[in-house]
Amino acid sequence: MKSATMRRRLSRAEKKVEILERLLEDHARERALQIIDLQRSHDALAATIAAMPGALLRVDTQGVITRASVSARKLLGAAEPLTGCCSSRISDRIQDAARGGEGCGPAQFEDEWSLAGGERIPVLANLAWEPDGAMVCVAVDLRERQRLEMELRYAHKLEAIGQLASGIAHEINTPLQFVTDNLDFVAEASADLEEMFGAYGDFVDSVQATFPGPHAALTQKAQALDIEFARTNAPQAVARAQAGVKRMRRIVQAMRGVSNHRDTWAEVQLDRIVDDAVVIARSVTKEVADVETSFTSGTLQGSSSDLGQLVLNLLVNATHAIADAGRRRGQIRVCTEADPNEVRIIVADNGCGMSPEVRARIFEPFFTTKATGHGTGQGLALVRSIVERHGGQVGVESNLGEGSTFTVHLPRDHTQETAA
Amino acid sequence: MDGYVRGVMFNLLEQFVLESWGADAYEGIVERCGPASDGPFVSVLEYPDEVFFTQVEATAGQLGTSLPRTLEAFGRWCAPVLISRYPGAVEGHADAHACILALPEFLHLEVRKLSPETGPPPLECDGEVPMASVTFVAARGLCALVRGLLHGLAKHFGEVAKFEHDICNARGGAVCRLCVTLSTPNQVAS
Repeated sequence: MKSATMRRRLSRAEKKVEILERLLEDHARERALQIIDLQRSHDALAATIAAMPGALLRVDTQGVITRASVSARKLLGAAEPLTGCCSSRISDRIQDAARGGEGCGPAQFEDEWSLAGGERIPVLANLAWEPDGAMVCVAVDLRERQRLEMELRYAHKLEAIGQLASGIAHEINTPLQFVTDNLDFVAEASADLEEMFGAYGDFVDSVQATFPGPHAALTQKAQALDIEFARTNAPQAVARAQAGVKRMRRIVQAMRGVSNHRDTWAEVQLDRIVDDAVVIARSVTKEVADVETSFTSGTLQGSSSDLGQLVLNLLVNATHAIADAGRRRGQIRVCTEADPNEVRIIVADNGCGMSPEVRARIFEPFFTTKATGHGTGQGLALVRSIVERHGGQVGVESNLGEGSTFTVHLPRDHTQETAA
Repeated sequence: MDGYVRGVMFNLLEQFVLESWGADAYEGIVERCGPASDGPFVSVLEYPDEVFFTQVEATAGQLGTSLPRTLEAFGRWCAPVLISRYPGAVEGHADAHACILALPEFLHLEVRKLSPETGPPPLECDGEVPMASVTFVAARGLCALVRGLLHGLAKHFGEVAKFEHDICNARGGAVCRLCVTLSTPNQVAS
């Protein structure tokens, strides 16, 4: 090889080394940046998986779990890691899907999964497949949804019953009116007849000597018919019937007020609304508690049907609290108070009271401490919603085992526009 | 159409000339091609294909053979070198036919290794055993190089390749198509 050739080749080799070193540096830098990016993506994915309410599983084509999120372990109540376990331990359908690929497209179905303790729970499984055939499954626990659906059905049922009761109240109102009128007539006529009876008695006694025979017959007849008893008791019977009908009318009137669906915003008499609610709630309160009332609030701007519902819900809640306390008979105090700017509704009971944990959640929709089907968990949520619509606030003081006091603060002049 | 050739091909051409005719011959070719051919060429970088064609033509001139013969000889020589450098191209394949059919996927991976955004190479391979149809775009008669490479590939599997070159860019075709018939030496004898 010529020396000139050797020099050229050496020079070329040196340049090549220089370029390669630069490339190596660039490549190493790029790789470091890629690792950082990859780590960030990994961390973001881990955070996403940790924040997911659903349980995440990755299952290979043999049906073996290759990855399980913490929430998956929690859902399944697994003490040991699920990785390496066969998915048939959870669900045969999941195992079949992992082995079969199910068309490798996204899929969704409701399934039942076996917990570590053997219990089976309903889940909604969402499946997708990775390019290598591994299946990713995100499952959501359906127990809470199913409970809420049941509560909702129960609430709809109660709403339907409420509407039915409202319709019946409307239907009863007219016949009650003429029963009332006729009873008033009977009372007046009874008084007139009594007066006339007195006059007839005096006359009959005055002709006893002249007509001893007919007098004796009439006296005998009166004794046989126990006319004296009828004269003494008939006015009382009519008065009691009048009182009973008056009470019926009051109940019907109160029900119509509370169930008024024409949701008009107007100046309302709060005391009257609260009193109506107390009357209606008597059907549930009378079995467990004595209700003490005191009204001094006056008027405010609002919806009478909403406010009636609010008080009714607080009263029903108080009744349940007393029943749960297991006392023979409890006390409910319902009062209204006012100052120039606001009115207050106070409903206090000496029922079972609440723990701080329960108290913190009572206004959440669907939160209930009762068994499924015994409470919708909407009563106090609705109270809060109505109070907020009226621009007010609701607070509760409670001691476990001693009772609770709900205080609703409502501004007097909250307008409907603000409420909307 | 301006294209690019990976530096590894320049280095292989240099090695081909060095092994066959020595360093002085290679330097003679570089001198004849001008400063652009002086390099250095780094295997993982790309260079204008014009430079490569100039070098190949100069090599043919230096050897006193035609361009197609030079390219095919270069391809045959390259095949075992490339297989030892990129064993993934042949691993897992029972015969040359299977290997040829898997070439586009393998080459795509190799291209993406350095340029992740790059799409699949303009190469299609299909056909039933023992035939394989290899369709590609080859500027300036580079199809001879492909033919040489396929000969080398067949030889790696102990097979022999025979070609029909019915469509060719050099003859006005939109693509080049090589129909390869593969056989083992025994089959050829019979």
